Amino acid sequence: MLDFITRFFKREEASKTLAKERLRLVLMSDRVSLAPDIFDEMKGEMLAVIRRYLDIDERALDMHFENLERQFALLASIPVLKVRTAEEIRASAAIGVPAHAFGNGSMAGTGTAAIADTPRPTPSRRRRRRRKPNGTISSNGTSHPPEDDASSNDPAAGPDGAI
Amino acid sequence: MNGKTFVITSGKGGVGKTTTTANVGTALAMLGNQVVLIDADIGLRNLDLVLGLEKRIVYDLVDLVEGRCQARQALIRDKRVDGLFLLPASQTKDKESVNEEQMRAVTLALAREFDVILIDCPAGIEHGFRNAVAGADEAVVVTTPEVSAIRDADRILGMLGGRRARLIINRVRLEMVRTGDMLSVDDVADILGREVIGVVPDDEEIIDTTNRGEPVVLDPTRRLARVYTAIARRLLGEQTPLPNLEDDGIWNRLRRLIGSRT
Amino acid sequence: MKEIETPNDAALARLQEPVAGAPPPAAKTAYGRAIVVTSGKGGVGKTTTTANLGTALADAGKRVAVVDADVGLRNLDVVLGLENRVNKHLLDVIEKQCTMEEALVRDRVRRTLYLLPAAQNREKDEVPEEAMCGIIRALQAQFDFVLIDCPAGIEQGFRNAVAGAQEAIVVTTPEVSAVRDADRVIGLLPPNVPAKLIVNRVRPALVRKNTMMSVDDVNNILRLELIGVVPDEKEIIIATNRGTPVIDIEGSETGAAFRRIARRLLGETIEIPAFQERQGLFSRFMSTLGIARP
Repeated sequence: MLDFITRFFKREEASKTLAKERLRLVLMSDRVSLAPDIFDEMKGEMLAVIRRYLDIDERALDMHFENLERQFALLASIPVLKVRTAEEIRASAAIGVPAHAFGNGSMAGTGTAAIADTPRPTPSRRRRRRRKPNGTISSNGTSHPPEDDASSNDPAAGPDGAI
Repeated sequence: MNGKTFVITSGKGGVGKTTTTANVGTALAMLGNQVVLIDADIGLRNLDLVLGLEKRIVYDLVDLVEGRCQARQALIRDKRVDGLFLLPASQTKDKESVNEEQMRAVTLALAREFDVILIDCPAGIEHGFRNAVAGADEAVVVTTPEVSAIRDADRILGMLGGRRARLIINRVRLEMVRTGDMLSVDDVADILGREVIGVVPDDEEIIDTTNRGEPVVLDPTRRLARVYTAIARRLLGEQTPLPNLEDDGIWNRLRRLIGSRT
Repeated sequence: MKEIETPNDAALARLQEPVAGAPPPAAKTAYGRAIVVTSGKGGVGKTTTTANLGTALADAGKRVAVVDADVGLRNLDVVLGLENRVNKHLLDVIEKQCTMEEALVRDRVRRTLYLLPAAQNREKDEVPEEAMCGIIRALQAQFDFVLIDCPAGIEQGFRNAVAGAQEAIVVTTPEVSAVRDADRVIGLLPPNVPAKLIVNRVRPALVRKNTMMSVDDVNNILRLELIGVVPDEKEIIIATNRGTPVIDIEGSETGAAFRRIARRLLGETIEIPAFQERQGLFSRFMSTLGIARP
């Protein structure tokens, strides 16, 4: 409904502006899906950084790109088992972690890891939008109430499943 | 001499690869180069038709690759232009009849005798596409200023194995660009991020010349002839300016103001 | 054809549930029609045709699934304006990574129109023909029409798209290369798949000038039952820019033509109109004076 209203008011917008915007989004999505190994590497690097600050539940973790209405986003849900102490973090830093891995420079001791490009994270846990209680996202961008049957195969969590 | 091989590709079908190959190839020959055009669309050949050479085909690419003939037997010399040759595709075999290594062997052999080789690539990204690209040093990606074509062009740019790729933007309709109903040349170049070596306006002359099998570039009085000749020069590295599309006379400008064309 | 395990029927049945406020769907008594939209030549309008016919049929109250068989170069999603709702695709369903229901994208406006997207990152070779058959049959069980958007060419992608089809619509333009390729494709269709013809991108003014072949010229070569003639218009470009079907653009002759074709598919007999290309004031003036358009 909202979409219909938006389109109604936007009728006067030059169609090429709309085309350009749609292309921008769809090409991002295409480019990611066409080089899954590169983005698996990216996820691997991100997780390596996160592990220096937090102990995470590797099996329940999910990181994937998603098409939202006017946005293309990297969404992550990373269950945290333990927040490391400042000493533990500094200790692993001393072993010789490359400077660039610290992203925008947020430091140990606060218990948060800042990663560029994700939507504004809550400290130590990023929520996935429109997450169904049983842990899956429905396609088509609609929310469903929790379902009691097993019709949806458990989408593969982790680096290899989600694009 | 060691000639250069370019594959003319696009991803999306129907954007003008074959017309471009025919016209740029003819223009290159008219500029004094020895040119071979290879139709890599086995099973759906059309380059012969566009060049008006369809009645002279005896041997084709598959015959050459399978050793049933020599290169000089398969190459059709265009009688209108010195130095222009066509290596036709087979109409009855399918694309699996030729593999990438064979294509490479053919283009390497031809490069010893010719200045420029243009490979007309089939639409899509299947075997035919892979074969056509395998034989080439560089690519020219043809697109139109439309969403699907640009999307497919972007995809293709990622499948060229690191070869240099430049763009030709085809079927540009100036009136629509002005009213904001069509993406501009700059828009397309921004999105795809490559150098543009040609901008070809939409022109009904193409339909006529294709029907007759006479590449438009053969007639220097036609405006498209200028456009393709400039592309031929830029292809070979000259920094010719892209012709100004606006510069086509008061008549057309007047018609456009009144909006008489669709 | 091997028996292929079909996707979860319960999941598919849920698609039948009425949307609040909408009339209840007609009881499904018969298998839907599976029609492949093909051409040989690229760029003649297969995807536009599939999208618009599907939309028009949905407007006529039918349940329609449009299937993008162009693995690796998908565009049906973009033409329908659904590209940002695509998450799963046909290959995921075949490989049982998800159910059909999860892959199908429902249209925003037409609630009985669904899209099964192609995969963008896999080669066409990866889809076995029998699997395609299984997918199409499963869709036929739940939809009145299954329209399959075929890729350009005659390679594996084409064979897959045709694999599940029981009817074909061949799209061509009045232009030598396109007609030649259409002829080739007609020869490659299985003998039990009847084919009908759409002649697209017709420009009546050019036909009058003898620059462009007429529809009769085309069909004298191809000899198929003609199901529609669609004029060329800039509205098609605008429609794709916006991601809306051209049948929604008011005053579009192209849109009107697609609506007529949909009705013919539903069995109505509608004459194919002679098209007048829209003329601007100035050139109408010039024609009146007997001066040919430049």
